[in-house]
Amino acid sequence: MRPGSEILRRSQDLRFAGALDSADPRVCSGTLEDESHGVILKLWIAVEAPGRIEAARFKVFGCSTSIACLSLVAEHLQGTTIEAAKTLDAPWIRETLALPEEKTYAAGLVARLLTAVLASWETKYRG
Amino acid sequence: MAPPAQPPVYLDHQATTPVDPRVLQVMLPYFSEKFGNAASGSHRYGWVAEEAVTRAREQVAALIGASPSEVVFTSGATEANNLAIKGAARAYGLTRADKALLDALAKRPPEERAAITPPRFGPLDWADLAARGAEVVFAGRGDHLITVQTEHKSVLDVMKRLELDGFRVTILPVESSGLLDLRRVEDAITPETILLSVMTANNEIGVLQPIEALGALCKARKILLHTDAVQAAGKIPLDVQRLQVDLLSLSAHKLYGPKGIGALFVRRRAPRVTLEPLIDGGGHERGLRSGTLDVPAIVGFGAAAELADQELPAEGPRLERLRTRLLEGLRAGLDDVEVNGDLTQRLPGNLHLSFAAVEGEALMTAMPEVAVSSGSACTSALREPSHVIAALGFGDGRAHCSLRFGLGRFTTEEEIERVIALVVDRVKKLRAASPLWEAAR
Repeated sequence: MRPGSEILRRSQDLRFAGALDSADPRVCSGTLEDESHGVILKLWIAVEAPGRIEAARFKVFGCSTSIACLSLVAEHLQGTTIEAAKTLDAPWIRETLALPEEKTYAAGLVARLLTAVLASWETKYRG
Repeated sequence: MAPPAQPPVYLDHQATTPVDPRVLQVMLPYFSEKFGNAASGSHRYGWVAEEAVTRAREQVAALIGASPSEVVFTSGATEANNLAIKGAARAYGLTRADKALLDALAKRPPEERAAITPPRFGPLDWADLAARGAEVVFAGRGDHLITVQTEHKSVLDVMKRLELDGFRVTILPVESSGLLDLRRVEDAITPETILLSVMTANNEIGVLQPIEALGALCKARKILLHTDAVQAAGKIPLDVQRLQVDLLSLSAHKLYGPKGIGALFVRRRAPRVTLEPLIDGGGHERGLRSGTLDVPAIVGFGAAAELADQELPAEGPRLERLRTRLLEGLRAGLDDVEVNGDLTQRLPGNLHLSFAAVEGEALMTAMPEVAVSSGSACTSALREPSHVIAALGFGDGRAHCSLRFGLGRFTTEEEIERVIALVVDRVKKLRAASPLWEAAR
């Protein structure tokens, strides 16, 4: 990874690495495993009514690009709304990190995980 | 103003080595006032260049116990490996066209056929055989080559290419230590086997294959032994007579010489090895490698070989001490650190480790203060573990958690201490963020 790249900077930013208490009723989480790329991603969000994400934490096993993508998303989830979180999609991740073509799979995996976690929250609280 | 960033600690000496300043000094005049073509025999400029090449050839030969006339300069080890394997296969082997001719000969009436035994070494005169309607009795001449799963791609890809030409190739597995079981080699040799190619030291895990035992075996079974000694040369003692190898590949940039220059040792006695050249035109290097010689690079190669030979007795133990300290330091600070490959039969400057629950590329990226290499590459198609680590049989997980630390001539104790502290810190941080580490605890 070249010095100065956004991927490098983000992959080293582990401020929001960690976990939230799954016993807390405000917390929703999800896991995504992708064997072909050897990636395991976990994401937790704690949501306050009315739909504001109070905190987000992640864990990841995978290459630096996977870490960078999840770290980026976790940072942007802090204090945002569920509706705004839905805009953090794969094209946004790709553009924000200027991912090279061969690394775009990581943006797709992280976006899929976020979509699943948000859907899980919708199911849990909106039915 | 911020002070300039300290350059990363270079621990990737199996990838390449810096040119030793003493080597560079010897090379420089050959870019300027001593610019002659070593093949220009009619004036002083050419004589000076030729003398320099002769001296360098002696220096390279001395490093491996060869005669200078057995050293053929190439563009590097990839070319040397190609020349050794393709050159031997074409000189001693049966191509698809040869086999078709044999089939045609076999269809002649029995009374027209006379069994003949071709010489063990030396090209067959197929036109003569066809004219005589002879049936060929192979006497060891064949179409079979043997190599090992953990070889460099410049050997494995050459073997693949020869398979397309009709050769049969056996690729032997290694043990979990990365070492080759001699019994597997013995079992693989057939009367049609031409050549065995086994690297002396592995470029990823640094393990040392039993070349001396393989040399004795190949001699007894009358097949050629080629070894890619790129990583081993100048790092451990090498003697082509003791090892009984017939072909040996070298590269200057792995032993503190310049890039773009290598050599192939081609045995001239017992047996006299014949190769088909890959490049024709001009008949340089005894006709085995035509092309104007790169005199500055060859001079640098020679100087680097001589320095490596002189410093080897002290440098080997020094590197081993540093490597031991690195491993002990990392294991003191971290749990679950595995060594890939045998730790005793190993290059002194190589340490290949897996850190449980931490992806190698992610770790490498997390510590830009150290230049190392990881055992996997992740692309859009698939993540691809190194074929070497995969061959050890531990599964993808360990392969993807691996890093290679390559220590070298200019590595200091202070650098090793810095690297220990850095790796321990970054592995702990990445493990704290790893779901696998959480699950393992």
